[in-house]
Amino acid sequence: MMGIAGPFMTLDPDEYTGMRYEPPSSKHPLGTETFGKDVLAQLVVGIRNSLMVGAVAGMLGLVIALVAGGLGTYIGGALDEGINTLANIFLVLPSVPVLIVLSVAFKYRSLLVVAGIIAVLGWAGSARSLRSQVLSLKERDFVNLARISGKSNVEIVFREIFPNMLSYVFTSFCWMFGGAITAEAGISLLGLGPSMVITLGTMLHYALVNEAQIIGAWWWFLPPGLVLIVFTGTLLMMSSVIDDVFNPKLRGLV
Amino acid sequence: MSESVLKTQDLKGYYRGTFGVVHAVDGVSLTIKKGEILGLAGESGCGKSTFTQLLTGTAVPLLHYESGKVEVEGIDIWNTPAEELRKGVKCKLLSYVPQSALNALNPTLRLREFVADMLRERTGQKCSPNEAREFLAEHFRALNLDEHVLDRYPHELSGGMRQRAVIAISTYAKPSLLLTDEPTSSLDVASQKRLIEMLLSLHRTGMIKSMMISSHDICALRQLCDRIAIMYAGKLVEEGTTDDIINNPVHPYTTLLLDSLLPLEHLSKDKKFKIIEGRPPDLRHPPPGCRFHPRCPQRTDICTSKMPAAVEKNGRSFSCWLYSEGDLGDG
Amino acid sequence: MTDKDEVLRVENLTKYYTSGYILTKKVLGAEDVSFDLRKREVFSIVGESGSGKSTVAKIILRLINPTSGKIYLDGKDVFSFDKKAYWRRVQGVFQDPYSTFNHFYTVDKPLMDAFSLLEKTSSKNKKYSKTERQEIIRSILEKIGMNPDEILGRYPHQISGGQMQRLLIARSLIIGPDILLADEPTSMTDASTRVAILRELLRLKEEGMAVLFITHDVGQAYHISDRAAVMKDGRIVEIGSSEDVFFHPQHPYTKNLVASVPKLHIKWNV
Repeated sequence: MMGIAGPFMTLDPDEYTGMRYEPPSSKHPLGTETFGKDVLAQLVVGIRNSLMVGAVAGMLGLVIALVAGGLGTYIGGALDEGINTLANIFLVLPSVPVLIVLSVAFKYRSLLVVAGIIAVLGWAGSARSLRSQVLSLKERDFVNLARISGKSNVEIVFREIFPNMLSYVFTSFCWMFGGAITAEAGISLLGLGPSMVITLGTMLHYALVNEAQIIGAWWWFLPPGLVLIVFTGTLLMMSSVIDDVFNPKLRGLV
Repeated sequence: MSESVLKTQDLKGYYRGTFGVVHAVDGVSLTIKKGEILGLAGESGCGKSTFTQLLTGTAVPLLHYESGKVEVEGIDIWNTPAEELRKGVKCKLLSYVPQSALNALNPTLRLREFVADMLRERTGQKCSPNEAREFLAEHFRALNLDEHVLDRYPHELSGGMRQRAVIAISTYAKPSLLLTDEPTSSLDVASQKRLIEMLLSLHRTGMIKSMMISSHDICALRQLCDRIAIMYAGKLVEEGTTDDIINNPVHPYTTLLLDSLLPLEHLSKDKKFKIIEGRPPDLRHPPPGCRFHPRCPQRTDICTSKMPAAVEKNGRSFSCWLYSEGDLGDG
Repeated sequence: MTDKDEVLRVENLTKYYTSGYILTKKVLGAEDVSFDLRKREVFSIVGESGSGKSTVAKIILRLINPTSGKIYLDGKDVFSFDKKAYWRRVQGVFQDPYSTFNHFYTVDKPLMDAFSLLEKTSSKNKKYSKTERQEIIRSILEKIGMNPDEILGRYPHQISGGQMQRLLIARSLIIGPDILLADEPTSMTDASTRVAILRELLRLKEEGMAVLFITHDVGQAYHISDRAAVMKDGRIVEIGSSEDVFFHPQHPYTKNLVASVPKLHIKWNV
């Protein structure tokens, strides 16, 4: 919420509005960073951008996982084997080195590019769990009934199987969302994040690079770090609550 | 009173949850005489499984004992503290084998280890799997069961074998009363017959003096039981000797239920494929009066408003306004 | 020589289930199964679990492929048929109504979906509008004695298992096949609704359909069918008229099966 409404309420994060390393005050509630820019303003924009990366990467990754894990598993045979092997390879890939390599390959990295990279590396985990769901639902009689009604594979996967997996799909999205935010923070920390854009990760990166922790400007690196923790924690909690919502059997023991 | 091994009086048990209150067992009075095998028959949802569960004095989640008396060999089950029930009544007087017992065996333990655990718990004494095996081997042999079954894991045994093993294990202490819920329902035909033979053998040899078998398979009950009681929508509608019930049913529901059966026998064409109209009532809001009246082809006005009392005559009892005076009429 | 009443002929159907690529394991589903189905009859396949009857059902419904063997529909090799065209002639009702309806949708969905099969296989490119579909659905439900207003628009958990099975029969009627395969349609329903389903199958037979009734319940098989086959361990061990198979069995397995079924009016001498 803060990410959306924030930028309109605070000072311009790119403007040099204060002295360097000012501690929190009423003009700058979270103080200023090394160039005198307002930290709160940066935080707010950073939240928005981090969330965006997370959401885009999460959704993109989910779509890939659904198509590969869902449709591929349902069709079965060689396609399923192939995708499964591919997913296993992706799972085993050391993500950090690959992220580094990919990030370096792109000279200018927009938020979308970063989101894309994260999605491409992250789809495999969700694909695996969705795959097992699809495998079990595939044997159910309503799928057989759809088959003898002449439904195509795509129709069956999207209209019969997926609706029964909603809680898993949602949980997978929560995981990917959280994972993407953390991944972005990770590569940004190394300086390979989105160029010219403020995110929670880039804030941490600059704080680190400018040795904020040695100078004692805690107001620069602590807020973004805390926000990151809160985000991931909230998303994890959401994914466990989702099961209660989607599973009617758990609601009041019907 | 000392003639009966089990006696219930107006037993009530309801399920309470966010869905409302389900009047699953709503005033059932039943007596099992010593030495007899009683069959509790009815379709799914009629309350027979709930009733059987209530007899043990242990309520499962959502099931609440509401009122009524349950006496096993004179002991008031619901007014006895749980510890005393566990040590004194269960296994010695009363043994209960629920419906999915054959699936409740721990898959990681051999049967003899499972028995050892059970004996340890029941008697409070140490017991090794080998001792357990010795203890039960004779019992198994007496029941014509291969004692080596005790050395196996559950998944190594067929469904029928598991069910027989479970019943053998549950009866090691030779309880006065054995309660079993749907013992034959998930078994194939040959296993069903072996199970029925085993239950009869337990009874004939005097190992188990009395039994109550709850099942929707009336043909199986016919082979096993001396008396049959029919339940519908939480109430008992008719009770009598097996011959009386099968050949001379009184209550309209019993008649329709028997007519809807398709046993492997030659039946006359007009007796086949008779439907019972409608569906069993929602027990959250049971109908007033006789619970069967919405579906009864012979209902009269009084059936829709007042519940018929149970009438006893000639060794059988039934609850129906058609015969409220105890007069069986011309039928 | 094809009997002019013959609608389906199964010849030497065999199915092995294989698993694993390197150390393959083969499990026998069915072996050398042969029988024929005729118009206006009910044919039962009776067997315990593991007898192979469900495997045969799935192959006939073309949900799985056999390892070897042939099936002929009106004399034509079934595996040369386009599947959708085949499913217009052969339909099925499954065992567990709660599993056959997708709980995400109302019970109308399978009925509506049936029309899409008709549209896809229509030689005249006929399309059914929503109103047309609803009219046809209503008239079929009334024909089988169900009240459309009590059923349509509801979710599966709001109606009974028996009603669900009859809806599935209605769904088949929309498609209008020559053969209806009922795979244990009554094993999960009450005694009272069981009869309604069986009566419906008999009515379909009177109207000319060939009904293949798969069951483990020997009594039901006897009362509803004209001819029957008994399966054990993937093979047919006995086949003939119902009266012969169940009251004058030849094969020891059938003899034992028939003797082990508890009767209502006859008590065993145990």
